[in-house]
Amino acid sequence: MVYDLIIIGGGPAGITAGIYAARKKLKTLLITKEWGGQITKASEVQNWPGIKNISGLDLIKQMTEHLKSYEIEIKENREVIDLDKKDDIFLVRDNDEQYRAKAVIIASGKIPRTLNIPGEEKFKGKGVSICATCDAPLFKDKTVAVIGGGNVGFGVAMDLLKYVKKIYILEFFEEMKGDPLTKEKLTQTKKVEFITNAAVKEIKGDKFVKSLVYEDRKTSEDHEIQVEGVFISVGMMAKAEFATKLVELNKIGEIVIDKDNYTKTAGLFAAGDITDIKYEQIVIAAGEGAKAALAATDYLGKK
Amino acid sequence: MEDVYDLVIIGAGPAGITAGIYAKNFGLNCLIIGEEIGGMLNSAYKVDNYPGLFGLTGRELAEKFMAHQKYLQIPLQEELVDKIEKENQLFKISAGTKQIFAKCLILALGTHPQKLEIKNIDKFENKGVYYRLGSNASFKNKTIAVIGGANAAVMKAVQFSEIAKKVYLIYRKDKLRADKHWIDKLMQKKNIEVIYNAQLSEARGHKKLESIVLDNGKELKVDGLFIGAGNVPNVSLIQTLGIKTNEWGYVEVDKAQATNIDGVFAAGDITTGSNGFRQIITACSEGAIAALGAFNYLNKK
Repeated sequence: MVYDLIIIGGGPAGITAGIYAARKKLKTLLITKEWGGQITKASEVQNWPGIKNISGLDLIKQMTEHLKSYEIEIKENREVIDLDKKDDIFLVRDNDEQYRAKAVIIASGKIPRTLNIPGEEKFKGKGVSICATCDAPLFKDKTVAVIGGGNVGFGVAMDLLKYVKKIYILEFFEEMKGDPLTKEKLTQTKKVEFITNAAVKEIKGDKFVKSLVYEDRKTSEDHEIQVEGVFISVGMMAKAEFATKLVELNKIGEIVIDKDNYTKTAGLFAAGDITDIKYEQIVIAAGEGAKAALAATDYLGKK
Repeated sequence: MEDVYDLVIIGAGPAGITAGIYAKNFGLNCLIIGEEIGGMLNSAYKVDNYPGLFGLTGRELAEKFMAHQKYLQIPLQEELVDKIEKENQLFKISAGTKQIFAKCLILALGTHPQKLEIKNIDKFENKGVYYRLGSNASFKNKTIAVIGGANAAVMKAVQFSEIAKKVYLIYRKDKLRADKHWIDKLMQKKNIEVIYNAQLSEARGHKKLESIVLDNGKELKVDGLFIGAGNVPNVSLIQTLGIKTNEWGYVEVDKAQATNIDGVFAAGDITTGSNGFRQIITACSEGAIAALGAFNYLNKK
């Protein structure tokens, strides 16, 4: 069987593309590893127009409910590992199966960047976390480290404040990159210690995390701090290697698109955070998803 | 001197409100000024393609946007803007007796329905002839004609068919261009008759509309006529600013929703953005991008 359209990804861009495609009565398959991705970690979303205040998780629930009210085939818990095109038909492969389609939209978003240091993988779920909203209550009255001094790291620290005793925020560069106002707020709590020029080297422990080792990049000295939790927030990265045969990637691995969501391959579109658009906002990703689905509809109509 | 805002957003539809939400979150001193909160959204029968909020009427969705604006305490004035000028380094907006000054602008003025130039049609406007449907127009057990073949017209025909005795859908081409979703619904309605390859040539009646005449000479007795002949951008206000528009009058914007005039951004249906698809969600997206653009512009100053 050949689908009209396969959408890869179940975040705001993929879901919106799905809603539009289903309404256009395209024979559509949506493949996703999970629903929502990044946004499910947001404790509060106040900038989805029309909804005053909602958790990221609930917003995604409302969107998937909307999507599932239409006729659309969905494969959950699948990760696409290869994308190719032969004789004008796209071949999409996940761990189990291969699917065929006349057009494809890639909207698989970004995934959290990793540090690639000893202990990071070993202590995942045992003190190492990438989701403060999910895990903060587990660290009641404990001392934790937040890796990354940007706005995301600051946001994580804000989420943790209610629960923890003390927070170290470690930043690789000379200055904290996050918003000065938030920094001021964090400082006033007297619970937060900022450490700059810190290259994190290792996470140590036995069953659970016990400490963190970092190098002071100015003095080249190693320091060990006692922490029971490590929250990694060093940004996100696009993971589009599965599509390299058909798309152009920029320096940071994002898919290059034109303003109408076309990639360099006819019939292949991309939308949302995996693309090289500058904005990473839920409403913008959703708008991009709608544009991509309508562009795909145009493409299919002209075939 | 009168108030000087960092940013004034002109238009209070989905694009304008979203721009306001973002501007407010950036801490900008901003104001939304527009004739009608929700804009064209208010006349949509059903909105089913706005992600996460579905099954609402356009009016209900507009009310949700309004509630969001109030919740975030985004200043909004429901007023008709008369004039926009550049004065010294600022933009001057005149509305009635008020004068408002802004360091930068987002134009989110949207579009309005295209009027038809047909014999007698002006005479019966709001007396049987409608371009946008007000809530007080009751067509229970009446006969209605709808002109057009795009989503808006087909939706209206379906909407009327639920209360009217008979609905004619009149389209100038031989194939409707609405979404299949709506065409399928239309086909299920027994009291809708689609007349293809026909155009309106005259409206007739005394005090109010009584019948319409098509270009094939056929006369149809109708109690109401709804015209969905497309939309045209609301650009009359912005011509004094020298804003560049395309051949159809839509405001040309770049990827950051910036116009050719420094400090002026545009978002929503009035622009050439989003591949011309002009959806609620793309209007919102453009509003967010325009607010980010305005924020960056003000920071650089």
